[in-house]
Amino acid sequence: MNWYAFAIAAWIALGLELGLKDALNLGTTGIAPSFVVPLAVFICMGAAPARAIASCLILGLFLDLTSTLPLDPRATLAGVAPGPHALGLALAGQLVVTIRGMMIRRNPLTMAFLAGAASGVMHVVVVALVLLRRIIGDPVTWDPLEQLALRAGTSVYTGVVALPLALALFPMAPLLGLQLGHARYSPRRDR
Amino acid sequence: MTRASGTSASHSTRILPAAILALLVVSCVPLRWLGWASWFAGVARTVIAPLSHPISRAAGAIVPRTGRPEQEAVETLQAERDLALLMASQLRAEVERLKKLNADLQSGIDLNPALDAQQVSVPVIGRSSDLTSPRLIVRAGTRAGVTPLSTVATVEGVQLLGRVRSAQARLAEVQTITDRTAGSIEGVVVGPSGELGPRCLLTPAGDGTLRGRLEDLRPEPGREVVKAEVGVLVRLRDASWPASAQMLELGRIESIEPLPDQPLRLMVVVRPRVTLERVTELVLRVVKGSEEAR
Repeated sequence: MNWYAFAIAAWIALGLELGLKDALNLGTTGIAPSFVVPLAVFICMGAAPARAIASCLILGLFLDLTSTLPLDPRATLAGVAPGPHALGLALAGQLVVTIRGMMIRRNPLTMAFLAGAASGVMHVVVVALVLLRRIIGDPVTWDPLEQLALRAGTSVYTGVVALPLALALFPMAPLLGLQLGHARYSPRRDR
Repeated sequence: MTRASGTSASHSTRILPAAILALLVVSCVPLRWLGWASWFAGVARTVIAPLSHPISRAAGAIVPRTGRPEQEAVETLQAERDLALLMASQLRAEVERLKKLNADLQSGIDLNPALDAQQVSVPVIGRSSDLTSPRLIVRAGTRAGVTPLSTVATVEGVQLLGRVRSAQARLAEVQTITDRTAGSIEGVVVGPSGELGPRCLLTPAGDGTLRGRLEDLRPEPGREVVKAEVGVLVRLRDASWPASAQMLELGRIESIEPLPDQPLRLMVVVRPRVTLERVTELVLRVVKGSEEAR
């Protein structure tokens, strides 16, 4: 896998994530697609397992650093908490790595399905870890059930957006050093 | 090659589980011990901003922030009128404050002097990636004198947008007043000539409006009470907000309904003049002296 190309792709995905979130928001619901998750899924579909999970951890960590937990208005804490998205995306990446052998990797529908599923897994982990923060006493103000519903919508939206994204990402597989062939992954080809 | 790939594989075997374990531990650590993460967040946003800002501006140009077409001249005149009314309201509030200060000083109470604020126009370069609390990221930070909670954000210096919740050296996060997690805000109905009417405690409804109960205001003898009607302006009058934010516009009354559980009391729905989450440029009110004091 080419880490330099990955860095550029990650920068672009994060830029799109932050820059387009409001424009693609469904009204005032807060449901907006992710561009980072489809990139993570794409990498997990073609990279060695360890590298795929490492990529997911890095992307998830950047999502944690660019998001803020909703805190009580009287709280003076910064609200930046590394961990939830990184661990969630890593778990989602493991899911993709596990089932990629059963999928037709060069199919945009595969990418859309996996992106939606991975996004769902990531958000469940995020909600669980933020709920844990509330239990340990952090002044986090949100309703877990409402968040799960909102994030379920986001996951579906992410899956829909992943379909056209797949058409843009598939030609970039050689640049990123990914193997998207039907053959099982061979460790010797990993760089 | 085989030795290199074997060494690389053994490194991955050790580093990856260690990284996951470290993140698990950090996820369980209380937020008050994670203040250091803000620095990394600032670095991450600074790296991403050169791309997210142009994208955000392009998206804002394609999908405009207000949908009502108005003539340019009418808009300009309305903006000037609103600014003049704001200054008149602030002067009136300042006169009341000085009268009270005068009375308190004469009775021997030591009070802090009013802080002077300067206005800084800053671009919005992106939004927080969190779905639950979509805060605006602006290109101004502690180096420009921005301080969390005491720096207030406005639209064109007239409409209250929100306040800064966190700030790094060059970037800051602004939470809008219509954000569901922003908490309640107290406003006062203001008549066309600037006279004050009933107060209202407003809460973000999550659809870009603020809703709350209207105070029952009994008219004083010889004094006319400003009626709360659709279209009337509501301004901020909340002691928990900085002095530089007092009497800024919260919005106009969109509807008045009886409370479901108390039919004799009224609930107002207030809508800001623009969709606050969609602004691409805002004006920060920075307290003078905060930059030198650091």
